Amino acid sequence: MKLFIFLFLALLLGACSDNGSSVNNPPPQEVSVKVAVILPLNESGSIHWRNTADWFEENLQKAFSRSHNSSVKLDLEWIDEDSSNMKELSATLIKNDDIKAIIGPLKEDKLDTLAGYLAIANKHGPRKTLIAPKATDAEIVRKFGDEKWFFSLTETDATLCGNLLSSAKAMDAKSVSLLTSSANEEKTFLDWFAFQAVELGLQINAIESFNDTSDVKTVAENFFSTSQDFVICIPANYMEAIEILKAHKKQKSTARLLFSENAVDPEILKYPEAEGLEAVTPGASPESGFDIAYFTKFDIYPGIGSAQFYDALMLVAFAQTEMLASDDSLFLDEHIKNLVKQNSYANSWAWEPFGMSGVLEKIQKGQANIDFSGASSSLVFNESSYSIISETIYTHWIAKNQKFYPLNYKSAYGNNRTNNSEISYKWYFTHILPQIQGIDSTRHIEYPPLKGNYALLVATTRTWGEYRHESGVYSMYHKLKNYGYDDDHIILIAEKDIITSDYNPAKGTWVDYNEEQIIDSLNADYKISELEPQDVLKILTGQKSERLPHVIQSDSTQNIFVYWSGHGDRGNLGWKIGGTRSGSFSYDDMQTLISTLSKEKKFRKMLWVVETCYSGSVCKAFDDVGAEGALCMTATNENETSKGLMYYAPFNQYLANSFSYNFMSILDNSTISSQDNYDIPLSDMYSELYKATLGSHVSIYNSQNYGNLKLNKIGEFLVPVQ
Amino acid sequence: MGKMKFFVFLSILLATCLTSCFSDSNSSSAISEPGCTPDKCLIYAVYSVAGIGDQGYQDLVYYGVNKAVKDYSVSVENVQPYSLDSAEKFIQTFFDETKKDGYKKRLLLLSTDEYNGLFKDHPKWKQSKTNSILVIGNNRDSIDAYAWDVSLYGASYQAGRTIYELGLDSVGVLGANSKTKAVQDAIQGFSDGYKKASSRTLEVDYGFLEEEEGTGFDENLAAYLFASFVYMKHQFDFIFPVIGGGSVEIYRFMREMQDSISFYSCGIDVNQEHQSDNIPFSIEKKTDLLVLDFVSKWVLEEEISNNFIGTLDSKYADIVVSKNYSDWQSHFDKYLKEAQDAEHSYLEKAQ
Repeated sequence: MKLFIFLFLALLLGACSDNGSSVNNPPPQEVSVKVAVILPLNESGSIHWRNTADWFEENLQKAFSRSHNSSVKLDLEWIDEDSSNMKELSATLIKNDDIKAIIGPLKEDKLDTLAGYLAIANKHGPRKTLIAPKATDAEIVRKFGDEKWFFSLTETDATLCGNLLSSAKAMDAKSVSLLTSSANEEKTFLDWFAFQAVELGLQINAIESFNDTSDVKTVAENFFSTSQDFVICIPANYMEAIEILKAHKKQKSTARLLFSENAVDPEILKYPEAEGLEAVTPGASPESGFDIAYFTKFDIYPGIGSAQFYDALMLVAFAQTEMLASDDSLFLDEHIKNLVKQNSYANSWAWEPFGMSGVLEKIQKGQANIDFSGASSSLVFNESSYSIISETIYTHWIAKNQKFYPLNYKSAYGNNRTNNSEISYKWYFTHILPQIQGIDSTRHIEYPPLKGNYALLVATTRTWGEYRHESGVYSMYHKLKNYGYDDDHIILIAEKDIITSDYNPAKGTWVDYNEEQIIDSLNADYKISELEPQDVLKILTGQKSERLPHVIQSDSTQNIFVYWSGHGDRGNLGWKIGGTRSGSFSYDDMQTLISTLSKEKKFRKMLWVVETCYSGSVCKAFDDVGAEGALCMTATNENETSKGLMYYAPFNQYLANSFSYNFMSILDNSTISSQDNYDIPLSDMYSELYKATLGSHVSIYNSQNYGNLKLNKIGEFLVPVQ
Repeated sequence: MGKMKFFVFLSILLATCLTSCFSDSNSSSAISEPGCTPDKCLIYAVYSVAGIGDQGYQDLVYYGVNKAVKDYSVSVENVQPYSLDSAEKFIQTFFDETKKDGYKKRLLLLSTDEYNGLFKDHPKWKQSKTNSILVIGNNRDSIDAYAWDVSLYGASYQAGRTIYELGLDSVGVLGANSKTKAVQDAIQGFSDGYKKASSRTLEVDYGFLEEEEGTGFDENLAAYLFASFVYMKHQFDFIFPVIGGGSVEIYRFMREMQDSISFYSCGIDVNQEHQSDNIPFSIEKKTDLLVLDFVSKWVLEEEISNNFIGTLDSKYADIVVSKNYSDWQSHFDKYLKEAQDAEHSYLEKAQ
């Protein structure tokens, strides 16, 4: 009888349990983490963000319900980025101790502002984690990519630019052109196009930009009136894309076109010119199935960025779970890094509840080597800081029959569903570079004995916002002084206003490229604002006057070293940009200068080191004049911008540009000390600079009229003859 | 419009794009079915190894499963293995959780028959009152499961029969492997149709990317290289690709070399006309519809055939002519009946 009652009760309990699966059983404990979500919420497509968040929460709770352990819930505070003053919002968020993580915003300028505030606040208080679903501006990633609390889930437009170019290469392009909006958010393309085209062995035909929809028609028609092979088109919106397509048709151009993401807009499909349009955009991993699952759930397809947003939420939830399980004092960002460090390119579905539950269980058990993929990618981050996603999946679209279709997918490394779009830098260094640069290591030129040295150091910008140019010149000044130069042999032209700026928290000091604070002992001869570009010629040719009391009185037995740092555009080195844009030192000026100095025998050897954008476009004058003994190294070739480096959060400024930073770092690591030890052959200096400087091609001019670069060393310019 | 609006509009755009890739199903709103609620019914779907993302067969099954979940108010656990070992563990998990998870009706859906061999080592992997098993594919190992499949023999026959008439008389066939039944059926159908038209036997000597059954469906690089190799060596007029997701690489080669080559190919599994101007038609394999129809019967507890093969006749397979080749439609129509009859004969013989 007892057995019967027992069995009856057991059956009854079993029947009761059938009324609901474990899906409905609340987990033992729920811990909430507050996350600020800053996204564009007023646009018609904002439904995607809410859909994604709701779906993630649903999947997260399903995943936790499988393990029956304590669970994490994300308490989202939604903020519309378009109706927020980002400075005020940043201050509010920083003060709110409840908020542990921030996801967004999407717009580059807003993200830059928020990250700038966090860079300072996170140094002092409990750190808040910032996850940018789509930080495509290379500048932002360069500034904040090494910060512990910053994460970016999309590669920058530099990678997209590389993808567009590698597609052109695959489509058998011989030469490429760039037709781009000059809008700020597209500037990465202008920065990287020329560099990457050269890397791929593509000849650059033209680079043209337009301001907005009002002038794109005129610019594009002129552009397509010339012969073009393959054109990368970067419109700021679909209307600009249409104007480009119309101009292409009007001029009967045979050029093949490939667009970036702003052309992929359903509105463009209404125009017959859009038939056949091709474009490449960042997207979700096809292997995750995210797009398909989203579509079946919501009857619409996700917006671009939805998969990255989903992954951002997932990373916070996983990290919070690890934080609970480990009960340590690490910040949320440290837990994220702990987790993603173990990820590999091998896929492991974790965004669906089943896979997610497996990951959560491992985290809760404290297991190591958890390898998980997300909705957008395999969630592998850069090895140096584990903050920047290493692989974004790009979708190549085509418009056909008034619809957009994905043709294929690309990623940095490729797998069974995506093509490899990696650019082969190693191959370039070993095979192409020597041919392009044509460094002559055999020619020998007889020079008279060296009897003296002069240096001209020029920072052509001013104001706090151009900090890196002045600080670069000051660093070079200190190096020369350390090598033995006296002030009588250095002409220093710099405004010195960063030292006295109200933005400077320690007036009377400046911070060098290694973040070392240095007390001002700079003996500047002129402020840049006191001079005109033509004064450079007068100073170098020794034309002393009341206005120019400090000049270089050199002859054919003395070496001259010039270090120049500032802005530049094609054909010009800028002068006094920053506060006031008031002039330039042009290609013609450079040509005249070199010719004059050469004719008047004002130098034995002369080395210019030029740190500006497009510096090659001016310094190619060295090649064209061909003066014996004159050599020039530039940060960029004719078509490239130079890139900032060493972002210093307390100043919200870069401390150096990439080329100058590398130049000085190489000197730091050398043994230059005396006349007897000049160290570093110029050829080595150049190749080291070339390899270390990312984002531009360090170039050398007039090496054919200088002599053997392996035998000539940098030290004879930097260490003065006693 | 800036990047932000791009985000806004892409959903509409993607909807227009990708809906066209899936089969029509008139089930846009959820079907209220008292027999199933999410806490009572579970579909546990295990996809082929690294299968999702093929823009073809596996994506169609994935779509069909997710659509069924929505339409029939069932729960789902989608499982993507990356090796046969992990697939084995995942399938074991399905059986281990029987009753523990509280579901009354549970369906193990295997999107491929490549896991059939695992059943030999697991005699307890059987259907029960609670658990049903559906294999999308062939049941040659006679496992305890429903086996539903779509034959491409008929549609492939129709394709082979027609393209010869249209003047494409130099044809190459590329298969993922020679042992997978679905590949064999499609190639046989295409060969038979072509042979019927030309009185010639199709050459397929070098046409397989892999040797082992179930492999060769994601060999993107191999497919690309094959396309270039075949083109350079043989200069075929037409390549018939039965290589799963790898077929997109054939199409990529066609696009990238469009100025210097001129061979044709066809879409396989889904409509691929957008991939190249040289794709005059696609052979659709509507596995999403197959999944939906099975789940419908399973939920409604209707009688279900243990073995079912969707055909050209039953519209689970079809030929879709590309827009720019609409004048080819009549040629395909001419051989539809012949292809349907040939498929019936072929399938009857196979039984």
